[in-house]
Amino acid sequence: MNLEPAADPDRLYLATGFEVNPCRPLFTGDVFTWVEIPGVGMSAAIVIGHPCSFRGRKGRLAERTPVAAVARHERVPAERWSTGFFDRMPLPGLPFEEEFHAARLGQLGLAVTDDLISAERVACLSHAGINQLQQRLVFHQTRLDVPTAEFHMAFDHTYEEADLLEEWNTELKGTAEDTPAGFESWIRQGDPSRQSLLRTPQERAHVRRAMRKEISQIQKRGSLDD
Amino acid sequence: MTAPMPRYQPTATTALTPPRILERTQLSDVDILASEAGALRSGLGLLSEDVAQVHGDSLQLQLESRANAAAKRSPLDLLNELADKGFSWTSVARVVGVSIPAVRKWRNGSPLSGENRRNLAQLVAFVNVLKEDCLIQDGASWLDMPLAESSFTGIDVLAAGQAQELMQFAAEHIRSRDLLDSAIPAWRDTLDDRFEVYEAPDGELAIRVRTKDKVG
Repeated sequence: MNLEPAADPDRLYLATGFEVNPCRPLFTGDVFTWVEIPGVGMSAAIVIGHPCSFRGRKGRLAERTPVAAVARHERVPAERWSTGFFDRMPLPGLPFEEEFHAARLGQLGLAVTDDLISAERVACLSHAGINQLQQRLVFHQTRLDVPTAEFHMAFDHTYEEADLLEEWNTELKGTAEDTPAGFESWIRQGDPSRQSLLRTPQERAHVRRAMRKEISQIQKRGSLDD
Repeated sequence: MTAPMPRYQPTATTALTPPRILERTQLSDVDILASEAGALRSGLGLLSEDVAQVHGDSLQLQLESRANAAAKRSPLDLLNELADKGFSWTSVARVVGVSIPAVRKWRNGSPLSGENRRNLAQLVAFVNVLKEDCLIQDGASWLDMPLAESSFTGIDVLAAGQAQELMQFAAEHIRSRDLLDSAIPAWRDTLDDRFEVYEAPDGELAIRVRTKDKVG
């Protein structure tokens, strides 16, 4: 078995509570406080879909987003998650009253994306956390045991793109370019496109430099307009 | 008359077994050369270990000296330099040993602890040594490069606190596998050739089980 044990909150989350950046785009592994999950009811929820399943062209979000219910869970030793509880994803340390929660991977539904956006986002999983979520989800649904390193290699470029979009939104907040569409247009430019360059790890620094240069130019143009 | 003493006649055994002392004195030039080369090689091996140790120590001192100089600059200046070089904030946070929101706060002017400031300065110093001594112009890209066909990168090695080992790899004194063996001993556990990542017909990357003829 390759299923990973429960991770420490430091490794599991990118941010929790007030540290969650409101400029971060909706992404796999985001945890929301209270939303309607069709077929399940009102519940805390975690986004489980691959970004392709809810992000379309020009940064437009799909009308609905795949989520799983998140509920309080008894605390069990980390290593027991490797050999059991296959229908759950451990979420220790969420900023709720009870310390230990788990995503219920059998209680899934398509939440209305606007409901998610207007709910409070209380945590974002880290790259390692998303890999673990994908691993448990695939095993629960198919009994296929895929090492997290494979998810990392296949999806790392999407994590990188989400990080870049977060930076774009944060730096350009309040400007005319503060839109996912502006970023989408920029990241798809070039031949090969910047987006496809992100698939090659050693090309990412180049894309980051280019984006920061672009942000700086937009900010300069904005200050001249003022 | 007494009969004369019979002359010594060597038996087959004594005739065929020369005394050991003869074997020693009859070393050929080739034997001597091989023996001397072996001794030299042993000596060189020991010397090489000593030199590697001294080199490692000197790299550590060099990094510390550069980090001391970098630590005099403002944290925002250090962060801007890393941003200009193309580092992700995720990588900076991992190497310094803090959360990403913590780095975001520093960029907005929040103060750093002495230890974090030191760690940040060490990262800047490391990248500058890469450029000046190892001729690696794009340190951020080099550190993002996967090592030994694994998912581990130089950033993972730095996050494990093994800057000196990584410098030895940058200077081509050790191989990537040796670097990972030393810095991240469990790295081989993550290698798994049952799966492969490929581009699906929709243009997105996906994972599939390797077919038998491709499994190594």
